[in-house]
Amino acid sequence: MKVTVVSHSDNKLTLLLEKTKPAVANALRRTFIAEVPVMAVKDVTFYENTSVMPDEYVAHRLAMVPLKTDLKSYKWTEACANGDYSMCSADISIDEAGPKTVYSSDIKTSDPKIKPISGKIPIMKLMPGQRIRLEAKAVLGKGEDHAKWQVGLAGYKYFTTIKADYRKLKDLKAVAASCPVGALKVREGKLELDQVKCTHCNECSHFVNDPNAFKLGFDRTSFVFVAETNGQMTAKEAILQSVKMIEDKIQSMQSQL
Amino acid sequence: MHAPIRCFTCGKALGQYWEEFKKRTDKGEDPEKVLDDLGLDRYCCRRMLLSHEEVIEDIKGYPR
Repeated sequence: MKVTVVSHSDNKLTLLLEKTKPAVANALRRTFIAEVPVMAVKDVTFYENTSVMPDEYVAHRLAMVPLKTDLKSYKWTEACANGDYSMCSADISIDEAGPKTVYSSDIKTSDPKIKPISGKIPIMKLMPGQRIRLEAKAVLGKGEDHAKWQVGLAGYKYFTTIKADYRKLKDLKAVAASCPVGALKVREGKLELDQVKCTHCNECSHFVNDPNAFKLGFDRTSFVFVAETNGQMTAKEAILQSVKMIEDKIQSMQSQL
Repeated sequence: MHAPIRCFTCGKALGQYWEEFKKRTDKGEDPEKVLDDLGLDRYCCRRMLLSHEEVIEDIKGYPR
């Protein structure tokens, strides 16, 4: 498998995976979405809630706030069955009185590394005399259990192939201009396709309207893979974590056979 | 009710964008441009902010 990084920012990674199979790309995608562990609020204890919304509503909103996750210093809850939860959960508390809007920046955490991805997420609006006082636990979880534990989104598409008969195609520039996303270009008398931009909308083949001269197809061995996280960790960390998890699964099979 | 924290469909966190979106569109800026600036490129995430109505402002003063 050949991997090329097309664009790379903290939360988004675009890759070209070449000379591989859909099963590989799909395994990576599914692991990324469903199994990369991230922190989210799980158990909330309310000491006081005189806001207009019920406890469940506040707890749900609190859980949806993505927390920056440090995978190195936290373990799955099962690892702490002996009663010492310091390795498995971070304590979170809020104590705010109105009139004010409670933001994610008002969340106090026991571990400074576990904090909301942004301080600007509004959690609750309070009027004068209303108060919220709560404690909560943030634990590691999987996306397959609840969306609050989903690290982000990943998806892929096949490469698009062009089968063109250049003796029959007259005006290449017009064919290139027919592309609504600007993925087609003419270079040295041939059509060149930008795989990342192409959405396989078939607009160009409708424009030519002659299957003998111009036909689009799929290359089922190459993929444009896009991975995006919510900021709990960088996209690169999340991809590497998914690769590691696939590897661990296969290795556990090897040791059992 | 309150501004959404995540997109209902794809789960992207977008609660942190609401106040900026509201401030800029209230000033008369084109919502399309604001959403592009915020980096919300899927239409599921865009509708979350576009169609949100801050109803909590009307009910937050009433007792539970």
